Amino acid sequence: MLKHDISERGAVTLVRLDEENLDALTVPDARPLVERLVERGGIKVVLDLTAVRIIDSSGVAIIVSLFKRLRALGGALRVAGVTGQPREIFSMLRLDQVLPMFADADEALKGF
Amino acid sequence: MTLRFTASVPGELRFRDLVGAMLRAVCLRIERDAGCDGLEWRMISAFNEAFNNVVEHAYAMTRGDIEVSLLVEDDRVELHLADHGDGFDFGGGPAENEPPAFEGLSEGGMGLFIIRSVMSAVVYERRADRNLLIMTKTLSGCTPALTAPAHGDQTRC
Repeated sequence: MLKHDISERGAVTLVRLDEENLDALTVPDARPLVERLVERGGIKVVLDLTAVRIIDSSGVAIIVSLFKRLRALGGALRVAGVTGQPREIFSMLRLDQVLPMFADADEALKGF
Repeated sequence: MTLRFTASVPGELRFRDLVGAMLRAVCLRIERDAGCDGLEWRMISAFNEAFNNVVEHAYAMTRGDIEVSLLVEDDRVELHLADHGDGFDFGGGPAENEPPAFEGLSEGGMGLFIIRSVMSAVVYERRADRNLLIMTKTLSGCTPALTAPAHGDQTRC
């Protein structure tokens, strides 16, 4: 089971991942969480990745999938707390130009 | 002097981080001693993608071991992954300097792009039934103290 915490902040759902790795090993455990979020329809989600130290293409793919699926349902995704190796990977793939990224969850929640 | 660290593990994802811990320790030591900033995250990123690729594609239909070697030279670090699974079309990924288009992002395309982006050179060879991926990171401006003689002057950044 992917370690995470979900809380409601007004109209926004805040999801904090409590895993150091979001990769091929942990992504299978993340899929049920993504399905739960998507099933709720067009919701606004802040995904806090502060705890994530290492990400691979599997981890990136599931975030991109969540972003696209929420967008298609009229919802939105903001990503917070991306630093270190994950930040380098996001920048390399130019995802920082597409995904709304914020320094931390509080910043991401502002005006969402 | 060349330092070589080698490990052979079953081609299953659960063994990846055991080898990754070894890589991380060596690369962090080089970073600390020689100031090669960013070496560790680059090597781990490439290793994870390459290991995943072997498990998910080369060994999709069969099982086998993955041999991982890390060679530390004065001017470069080489990471070799060898397996006996199915061959792989390493030329099918996106252009080296162009990330995959966002709308068509696939794990496979991203993985190859990440490997090519973080490494200085990537060579894939298929000989007989053996796949060998050689990923090289040149160490510009720094020399690992690990490869220096035990006595005498050491070249440092």
